[in-house]
Amino acid sequence: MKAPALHQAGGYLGVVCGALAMYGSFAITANSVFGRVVAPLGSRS
Amino acid sequence: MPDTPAPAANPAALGLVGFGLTTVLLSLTNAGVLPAGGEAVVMPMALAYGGLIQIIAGLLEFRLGNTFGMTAFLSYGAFWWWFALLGILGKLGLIDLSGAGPTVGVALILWGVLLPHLLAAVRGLHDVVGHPPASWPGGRR
Repeated sequence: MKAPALHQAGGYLGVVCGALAMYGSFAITANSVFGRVVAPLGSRS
Repeated sequence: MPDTPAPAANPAALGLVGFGLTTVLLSLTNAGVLPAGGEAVVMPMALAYGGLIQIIAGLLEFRLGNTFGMTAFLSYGAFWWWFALLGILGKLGLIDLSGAGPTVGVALILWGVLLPHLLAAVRGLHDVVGHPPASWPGGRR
């Protein structure tokens, strides 16, 4: 794999990672405002 | 009448969006979706949002006694400051990176070491920010 391809793959991985973090924030915010689960975060282990 | 402490807000909502939004913007330039010159837009956002907001969130996690949140948000907040300072000071010629060789790469690998360090502690958290899918090494459901 050439470096530019790795760079691009890392970029897409970063988009997924950042989007997951944004969903986590959205879920915590929305669940807190509505006082119930509107965006699931999964159970605590 | 005894003092009852006011309910605390969850700082993770703040820290996660500070991390996530800045990461998505930088990654869109790395993926080639946005032009490489867009990094000039990412640098100030890394200071003003990704860095600053996560540092505030980390300090608020400290107040809640959340060691994981404190370590993760303060570390990644400082990461964004380092990343932006490296880019801005390098561009301005205030620091000379021409002789750095692989040092930037090694620094990024050291930041990568922090990830399994945090993942090792993450089992007690919610699925979304917690354990990886069962298909991943170390994952379970």
